[in-house]
Amino acid sequence: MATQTLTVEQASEQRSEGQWQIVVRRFLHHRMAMLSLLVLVLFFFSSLLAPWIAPFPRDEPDVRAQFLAPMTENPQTGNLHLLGTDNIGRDLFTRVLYSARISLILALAVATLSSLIGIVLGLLAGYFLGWIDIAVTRFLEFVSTFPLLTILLILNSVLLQNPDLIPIPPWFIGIIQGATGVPDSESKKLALVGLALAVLSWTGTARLMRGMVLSVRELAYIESSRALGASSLRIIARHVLPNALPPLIVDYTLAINGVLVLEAVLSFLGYGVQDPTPTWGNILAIAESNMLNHPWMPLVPGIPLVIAALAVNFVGGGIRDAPDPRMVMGGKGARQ
Amino acid sequence: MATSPLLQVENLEVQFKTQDGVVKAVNDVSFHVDRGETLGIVGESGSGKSVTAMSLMRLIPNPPGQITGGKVMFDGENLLDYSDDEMRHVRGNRIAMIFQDPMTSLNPVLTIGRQITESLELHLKLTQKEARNRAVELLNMVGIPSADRRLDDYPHQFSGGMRQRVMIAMGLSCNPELLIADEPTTALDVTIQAQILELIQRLQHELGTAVIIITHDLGVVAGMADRVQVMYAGRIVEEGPTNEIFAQPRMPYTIGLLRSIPRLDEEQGRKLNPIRGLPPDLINLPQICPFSPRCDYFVAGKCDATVPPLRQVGVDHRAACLFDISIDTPIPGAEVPV
Repeated sequence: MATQTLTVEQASEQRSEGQWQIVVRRFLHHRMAMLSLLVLVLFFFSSLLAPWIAPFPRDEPDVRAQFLAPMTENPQTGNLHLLGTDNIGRDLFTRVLYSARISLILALAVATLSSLIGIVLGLLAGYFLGWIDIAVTRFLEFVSTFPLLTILLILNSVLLQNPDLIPIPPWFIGIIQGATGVPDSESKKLALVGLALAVLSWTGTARLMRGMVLSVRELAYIESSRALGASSLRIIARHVLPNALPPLIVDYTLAINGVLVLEAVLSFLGYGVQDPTPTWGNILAIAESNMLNHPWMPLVPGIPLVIAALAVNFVGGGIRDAPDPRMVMGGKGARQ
Repeated sequence: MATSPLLQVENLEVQFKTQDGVVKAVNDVSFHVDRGETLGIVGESGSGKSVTAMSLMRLIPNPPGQITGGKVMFDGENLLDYSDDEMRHVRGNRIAMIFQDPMTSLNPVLTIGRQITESLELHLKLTQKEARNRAVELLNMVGIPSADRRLDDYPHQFSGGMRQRVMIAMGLSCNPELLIADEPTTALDVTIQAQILELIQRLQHELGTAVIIITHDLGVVAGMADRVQVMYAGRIVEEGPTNEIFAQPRMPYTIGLLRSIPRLDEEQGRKLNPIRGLPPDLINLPQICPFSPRCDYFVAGKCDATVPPLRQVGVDHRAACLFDISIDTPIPGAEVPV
């Protein structure tokens, strides 16, 4: 093979890749992450199209067709139920299709909201220290002692029975409605459960962020930029935040995952998103109570739930690995 | 030229509150820097030289640190009276600082260009394009080849010496009147050290910036500074023109420092004499000469009675010692070398 030689001019012509480009390239070459991302996108978009592609209306019961097994026909109407029907004869394929969007949006929204609260509070506490730190840390400890189940129980018994009492501004309900595509009354309840989860689950993120900021704020370049006359706001935005963020990105993907599973757990206990709004969690809960007679039922929402949770995890892994130069990754990108 | 000095520090006191007590890091320190002059501050670790520099910029972390007394008169105005906002306009703009460790003084996630233009945008209100042009100019000035291209590089793509050049470029970006270099060469190897010092000197001549160079390396001071002040236990114990300090040190601590380093012009076979003992605990400083427990010339009843004030011992040369001791004074009780 002929050896390629570069003159100095040629070599200097070649722009080296920027940090960001390297990270993106490495992420794009992370096979599991890309595959998982594809799965999630597929789930989400098929769910978006649910009103057009679902074979039945979402909530239409048919008491003559309860607990039909997958791939059986309705004895009365002759309609084929791909994944069977539930306890009141609603088509499970339809419901699982609709629920992908609701479950994923809920998980994404709760994780985003709680991460934002956590990052902002952790940043303030870690950067300003003093009484702000004391206030945030005490508040954080206070919140983390709240029993989630008890609070959801109270919400359930008081507010969910009277949705009009829910003090959530209409624009917020509008956003929820637009994102999940559920009717107005349901989106109120959905918003309430989501808010309750977000408001109670930011404490870990805040602790992590505070710790990161505590270590970053002592670094020499923070002092050096203060010596250049930068304001606190500028130092936070340009120097502290970007350098403290990497572990928080991984934390965020884990939080999405956590909410997906937590919603299923809460539904199992009856405190999650309420029927008829379909989520993987509450379809699973209905299936669970009829599992002894119809053992196939939990698999119908369970399999997509597990796949989605795994996929989110793999994407998180990809994001974590991409900026890490010690990771050797498969594919062409790794060899450069 | 104006007769008042650029910087006049009077009776500066800085304290840190710790769990073990109040650390008196800087005690009653007064000095001045003239325009265009280089002042060297030397002293061992913990002698208060860095804290002095940080308090000039009001960068002492508070809590735990606090400037408890004194004045920092900069161009006729007391910086300690400034509001935080006013102080931000001084930092980087009129007084700039270069730090010890160039490896960690640059933000790893921003390009060099972004970091240099930061203070230009802050203080000179340049547009992005103007700031970039100025940044290229600055990198050329500090001797970084193909500056235009290097602006888009990240700190990890630069060597230690290059990064210190970038730090200097950042420091000088707004043409400050005073540059404080806090151990600018400590983290660099000797050849790079020489280049960096040469660079600071050259730029100082070109731009007329006054420089305070803080170091524990007497060699650096000898080559750079017009005047030297020696700090010990948060006090200035000797100050004077560089030549005077090296030729005729009058404070036993300075004499000890000079005896503990090798010189090219000395007789062969001389043993290096380290200074025995450790620096004093700055929490419980008794009202005695702080160096007296380690001093070879200690006189009981005198040195442990008062804190010796700085007194005139030569032209512009002052030392904080009660006695007239010079480098030729034999050490009492020691055998006279044959």
